[in-house]
Amino acid sequence: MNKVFSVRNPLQGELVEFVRSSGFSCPHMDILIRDLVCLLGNYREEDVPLFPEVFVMLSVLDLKGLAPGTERLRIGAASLDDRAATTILKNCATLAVRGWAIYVAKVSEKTAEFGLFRALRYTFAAHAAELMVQGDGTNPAILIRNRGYMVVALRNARAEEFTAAFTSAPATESPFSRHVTMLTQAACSSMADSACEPFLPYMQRLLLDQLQRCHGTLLAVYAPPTDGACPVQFSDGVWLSAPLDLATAYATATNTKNADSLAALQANEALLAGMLNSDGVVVFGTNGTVLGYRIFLKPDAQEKEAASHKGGGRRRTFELMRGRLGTEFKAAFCCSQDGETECARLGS
Amino acid sequence: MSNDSAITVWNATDAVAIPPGESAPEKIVPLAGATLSKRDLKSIEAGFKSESYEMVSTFVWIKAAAALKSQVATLGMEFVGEMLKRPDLDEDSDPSTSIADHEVIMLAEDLGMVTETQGLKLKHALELVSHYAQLDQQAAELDPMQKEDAVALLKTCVTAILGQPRLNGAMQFADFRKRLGTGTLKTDDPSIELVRSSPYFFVRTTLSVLLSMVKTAKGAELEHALGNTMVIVPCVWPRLRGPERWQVGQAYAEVSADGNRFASAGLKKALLDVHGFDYVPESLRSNTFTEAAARVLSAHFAGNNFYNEAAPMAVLAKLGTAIPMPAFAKCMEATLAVWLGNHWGHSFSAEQDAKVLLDLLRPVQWEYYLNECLPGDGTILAKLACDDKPVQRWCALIEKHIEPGFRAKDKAVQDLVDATRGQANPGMVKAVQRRAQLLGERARSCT
Repeated sequence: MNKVFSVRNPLQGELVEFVRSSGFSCPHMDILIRDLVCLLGNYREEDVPLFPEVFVMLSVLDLKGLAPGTERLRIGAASLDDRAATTILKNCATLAVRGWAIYVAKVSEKTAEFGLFRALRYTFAAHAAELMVQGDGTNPAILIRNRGYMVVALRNARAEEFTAAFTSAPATESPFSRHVTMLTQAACSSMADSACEPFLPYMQRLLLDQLQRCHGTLLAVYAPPTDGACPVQFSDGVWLSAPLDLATAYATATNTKNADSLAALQANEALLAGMLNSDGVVVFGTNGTVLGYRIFLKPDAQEKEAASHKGGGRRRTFELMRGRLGTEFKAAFCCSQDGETECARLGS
Repeated sequence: MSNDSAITVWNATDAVAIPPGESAPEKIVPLAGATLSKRDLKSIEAGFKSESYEMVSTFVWIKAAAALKSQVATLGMEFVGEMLKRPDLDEDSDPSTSIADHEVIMLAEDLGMVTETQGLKLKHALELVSHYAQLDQQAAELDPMQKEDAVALLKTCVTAILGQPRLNGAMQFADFRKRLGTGTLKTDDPSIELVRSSPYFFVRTTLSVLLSMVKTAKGAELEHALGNTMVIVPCVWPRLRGPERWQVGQAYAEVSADGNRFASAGLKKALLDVHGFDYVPESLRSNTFTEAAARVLSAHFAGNNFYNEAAPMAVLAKLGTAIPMPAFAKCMEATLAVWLGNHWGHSFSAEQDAKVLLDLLRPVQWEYYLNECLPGDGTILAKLACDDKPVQRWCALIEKHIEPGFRAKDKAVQDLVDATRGQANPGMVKAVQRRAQLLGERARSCT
């Protein structure tokens, strides 16, 4: 017996309730949202994975509420049929980087305007995803974005989430965002509340963006030594004589609001991206700094004996870091090449 | 908020009374002892005795402007920047160098530090001092300042500013401002109705106070400011004119760009309630235009203006006529100020750039200016209300740019336009002046 199966109908069935509760009542928009979700599970152009953020809304005017004072680049209009999602992503996905995101806004019964807008004006500005949230969901909008290999998350203006996983794994919310939050909280744990409050969402957003684009990495959080000297266990790696102080660069940029301080912050972000793409462990301080990178940890005799022989090198190093929680690390994070994440934090 | 802290409109009062007939400097000067040193007082008296009227007037004016700026600055320079729509001002700005003389007079009027009449006299005093400062040697020899002019200027400065150690209006206003940051109004609070029915300048100032707090305050003060914004903006929105509506949208864009998520959420809620996203700008370029316009106005109202306003006017004209809406009112105020000139004429060197900008404006932009900006444009209304030459140039401008079929939304504006078009009427200048004066007065009345 020959049988064919597609997620098309089951997905639409599952999505429709979420889409309705988000304030959308147009069946054509249902189809567009479903198709965007499917395509973003593993979207590639020229075999390069892309992770565009797509904001779907009912009016172009709503864009001003999401991204006030920012530029908009209208690309075109699409008929709301089976080809709309493909057309939109083909024309916009490669451009939706470094603060640009895709918007799709209904302009008539069967037509939507699409293009790009600055979802993030500066690196420290409030992101459209944050501005979208409105307790009563008065201005309907849905953000669709990839949150791991074959995992797509939808978020509406009420901050409700819908996660679609195109795998055989049991349905769970994407742990990516939660794991990054755990790590970020540990990396800011010794900061004063007043400095931590604005810095935390910035750091979280930065790491989410950069980790999504890296080829797998290991991160750890370590209380910075008072003398700044490299602890002996991190001697196989690069220990920065002057830590990369993201928290100070962020505070300076937000306080002075000038081009120099913004450029300095962006320069620090570029260095962090390079570190995340390096082999070994990137070590964060608990005060919003990066202490070292390309650090290779060596298990002692006892750890060697207890170590699992399953999994690759990255997995085994993560287990090693997890075992040192409390004695050495405050948190450990692992992101595999295929986008799966794990995080362990002291006390969690 | 409880009734004992209910919002009230602040008032300016004459704290120093000088008999109308008093013209002896030696009787008037001692009254300035509240703010000036004995050495300053002696110098002023000596200036009058030596008949150095230009010199003594300039000295008195500088002292009065500095005192007024210092009083205004006690309210916070960030707030002053919001009131003046000057994004370049922050808490570290030096009031003496960063606030122009004409700006501080307008502020003092809006904040109730000086009465409307005092404000008018202070503007005249500023024009007089600026005019005599720019005369060349020959002209200064031929047409020196008269004693009566110098005495009138002295009386104005002493009555309005130098005779009072602390301006009463400033204290009332500071108190009002404090209340907006220490308690949150409810929608059925009687104060809301009071704000709704207050004179437009009060509504405009209240809005500036709230937006300034939303941008800069933290903690509980920010919470109260946002709470009050969410209540007051929807209540006054129907009365707000274009420039003030854009001010709210611009504030939303700015706090979002600054990463101030809490403030963004509050302003978004207020804008949602009034369906006000039409007034959210699509870029923050307006700051560039606003700053350029502020420089034009500073040059226009300072000494040697006919020469100095050419360079900043050229910069403003080069920015083009795609003026972002939040900056439109300020840019028009500056360009028209240059074009209309003042009692003594206008700048030939700046005229061309002003003309280029005005000629390129679309009819819809002219209509927006007349309907939304002119009723609150104190600078232009003051020029039209008091001086003949600006009125004549205004008539030519209206004749050239305003369609004969234009109907203003506001009857008072329509009356002004109609009076302007009666060029054949010998009493046209007086008619325009009267209507401009009425428009200016109405901004400060409750109707």
